[in-house]
Amino acid sequence: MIRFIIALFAVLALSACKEDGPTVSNEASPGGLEYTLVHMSGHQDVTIRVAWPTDWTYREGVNETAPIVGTQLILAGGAEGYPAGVAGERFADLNSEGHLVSTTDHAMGVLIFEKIHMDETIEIANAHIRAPVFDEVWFNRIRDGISRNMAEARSHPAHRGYDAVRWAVLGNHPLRRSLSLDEPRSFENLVRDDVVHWHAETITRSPDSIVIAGEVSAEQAGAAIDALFEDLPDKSREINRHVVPDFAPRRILLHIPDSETANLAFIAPLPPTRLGHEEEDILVVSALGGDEESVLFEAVRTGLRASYSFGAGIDSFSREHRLLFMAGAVETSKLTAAEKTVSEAYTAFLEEGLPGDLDALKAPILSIIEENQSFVDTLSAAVIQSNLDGHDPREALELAERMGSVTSETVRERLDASYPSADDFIVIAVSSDADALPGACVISHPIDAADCL
Amino acid sequence: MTASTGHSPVRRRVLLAVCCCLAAAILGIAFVVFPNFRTGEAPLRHVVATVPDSGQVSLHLILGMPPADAGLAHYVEHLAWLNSVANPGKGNARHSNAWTGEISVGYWLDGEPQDLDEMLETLSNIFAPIDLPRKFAEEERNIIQREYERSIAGNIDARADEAMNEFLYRNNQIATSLIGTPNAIMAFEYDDARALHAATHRPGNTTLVAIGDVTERQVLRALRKLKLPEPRDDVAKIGLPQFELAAPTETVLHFPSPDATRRMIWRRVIELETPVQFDLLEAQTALLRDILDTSLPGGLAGPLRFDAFVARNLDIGVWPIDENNVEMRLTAIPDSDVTFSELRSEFEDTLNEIAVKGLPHTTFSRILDRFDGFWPDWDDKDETANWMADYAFDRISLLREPLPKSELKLLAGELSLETTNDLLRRLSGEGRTAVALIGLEDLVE
Repeated sequence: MIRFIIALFAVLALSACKEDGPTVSNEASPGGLEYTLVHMSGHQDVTIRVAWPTDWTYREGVNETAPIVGTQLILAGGAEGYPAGVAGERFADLNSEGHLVSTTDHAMGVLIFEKIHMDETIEIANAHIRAPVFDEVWFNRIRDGISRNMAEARSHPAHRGYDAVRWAVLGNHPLRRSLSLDEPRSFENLVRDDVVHWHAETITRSPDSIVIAGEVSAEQAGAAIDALFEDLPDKSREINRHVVPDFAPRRILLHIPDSETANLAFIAPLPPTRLGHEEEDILVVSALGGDEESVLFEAVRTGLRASYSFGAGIDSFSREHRLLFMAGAVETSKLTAAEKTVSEAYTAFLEEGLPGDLDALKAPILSIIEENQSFVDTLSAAVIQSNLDGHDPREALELAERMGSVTSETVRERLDASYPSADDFIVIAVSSDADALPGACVISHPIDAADCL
Repeated sequence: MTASTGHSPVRRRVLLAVCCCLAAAILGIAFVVFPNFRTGEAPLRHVVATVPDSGQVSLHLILGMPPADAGLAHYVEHLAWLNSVANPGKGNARHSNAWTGEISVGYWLDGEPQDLDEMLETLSNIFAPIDLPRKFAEEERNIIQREYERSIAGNIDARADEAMNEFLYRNNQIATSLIGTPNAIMAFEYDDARALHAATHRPGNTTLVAIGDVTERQVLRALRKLKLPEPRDDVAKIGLPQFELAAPTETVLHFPSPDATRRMIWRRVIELETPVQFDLLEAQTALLRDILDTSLPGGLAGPLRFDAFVARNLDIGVWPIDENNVEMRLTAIPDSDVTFSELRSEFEDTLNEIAVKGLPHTTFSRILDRFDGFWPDWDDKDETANWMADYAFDRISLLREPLPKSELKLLAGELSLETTNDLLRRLSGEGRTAVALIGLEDLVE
């Protein structure tokens, strides 16, 4: 009995020792900005994430290169009180980081800093998002640099293959132009005023979501957010994102006579993450083409011996339009066989479901999820994605439980309900051999894919 | 929706410590302190880096490789892996792959700690003679061609580096291409690969690195159960090859791709006057790199990127080849109205000017303050355990001995402005220099 009491006391003592886990709450700053607070005890670091909505990439009449040039110019080109280069060095002293990235639906900003340096970090960040210099010389430097980088990227056959897919699916919609950045003279035609215009309408006091994570109180968080958004303008327009992609299956061969490599890709739509079941999708893609033990690697490399690696993944044109892809470089003479092999392997996978031990497949993913839950930057990233999907932000704390609750049956249901059949894919091959994919729509330039019906 | 915490964070941490000690005392739990790694020689040389509670173990067999025809060691690695570990069993629970480095090859297998014995047995099959069907083994050359296309053919920087390596490291093993050329790959002979495998893939030339939720005792127990091949007199342990820098001179290589962003890769290898312990030299070179990368006085980014518009992008690296030789690498993208020759001369002149004047003390101190991230937070047990595991693996892969934590902790105190300036002066002086100019020079010089 005494032993039992001692053991019970020990267990109680240990349970009292457990540190509080993160908590998530929706708050409002004194200045009226709504935000999500992720309180994480014992963390010296703080992360602030902001998602500013945009429909720039969906509109005619604007230059599609402005967002990518503008975000880089804000980061590198200096701001009121901070000549170019100064803030970078100061951030390095403070061990602070700042990033701003343009996606098709948002400008995504993130600050990561030690709590003791919160005030100075935010002061610098506010200056850069509120009053970037947009110096003409720096503007030209960054615009020309990105333009040259894109030209080099387009010289890669696989890159041109994906350009062709975007022509096939999106036609000449502005979203395609924003994703491919391949319109002749679009960079040359970009002027500083385009970037000023993009900045003024995008970086406002009206983001879709603000998340702050760390050991900060609501009072501290609210003050920090008000300081970060100080003197930003209110939004000036309603967002209107409209695009109707055409994912009708087609087989396309982009003929590049001097291509040294052959590339093959299968592409089909997946439902957006806002509709759920992302955990099943992660497991499906991992088993289908995640590593050397995956279905596609086994089929194309080990079986057909046509490729160094052939994998699967999920990408997106926008938050609404996600893609499942299976892709890899293959031996030119085995392109036809590779198409058949991939198609058969995928069909068998659809029929049979996940191979092997489900728990073992989950284990490395759960390990990553659990690790991510312990860092302010990664947990805040999960929370802002929940917000942007219209979910309860507390779902971000339950990722491990949700992954743990996936069963073979839920994966089966997901495959049946949401995954395309092998015949539903757009197949794109890039090859020096115009006859490598018999019956395919053979094109010479990515733009020609728009006519492959 | 807001949850109140009740205690202040500091009070809670104190409470945590008290409670855990109390619970441990009641239950008789002994707090075990794991050293970050343990090494031993028998029955197979091994390094065990314990990362408690990780729930996983990674086993690596790392072997020294002698000079060989370009790409042949890589072909051997493919065949040996296919012959042994390619199907590690247990479905999704295990993962395996292999790699070839400049002087070594490695095979790894990840899995669950309770399967240690079986995993080690599977991995040790790399010692078995390669016995693949000849047709299958020869087909593997086509797979390597695909790998070449992916990693080299479509990557102009990689092609430039292959050419620069051959020049900079001439007459040394590390000058040889790891993957070879397309013609060389298709000329690999299966019998040559088997012979090189037989001459190198022996226990006496192998170090086991075990990282994860295992102890040295567990690893030793598993090792003793293994049936390893008998030692052979004609197979010696292959150690770190001596690097001898060829005569100081320079070469300029042109890669006039019309689509490529114009850029210059500038690399120089210099010999030090006196050798410096490798780990210390690695820290010294990393610190110098960080200084040169700044826009502060003494940095290159100020004069070349911010004060004047010479290069719109700079990427700097400085690292030791061994205790006697250091390499510096700069990749610079010139601004639109700057020619390659202007870029190079501006860069070299600036480097010389900084070296002659010496790095300002204020800049050195400022960057040194930022440098604490080079090593882990030694007070953070988990961070240190993970860092030391990576470090041990890295050193064994380089055929070097990892230093114990106690010695690594002393290195920070040996960094000084004087040694950093000495290193900079050497790098700005005489060395073997290779310059690759990528893209078209579309300006009139």
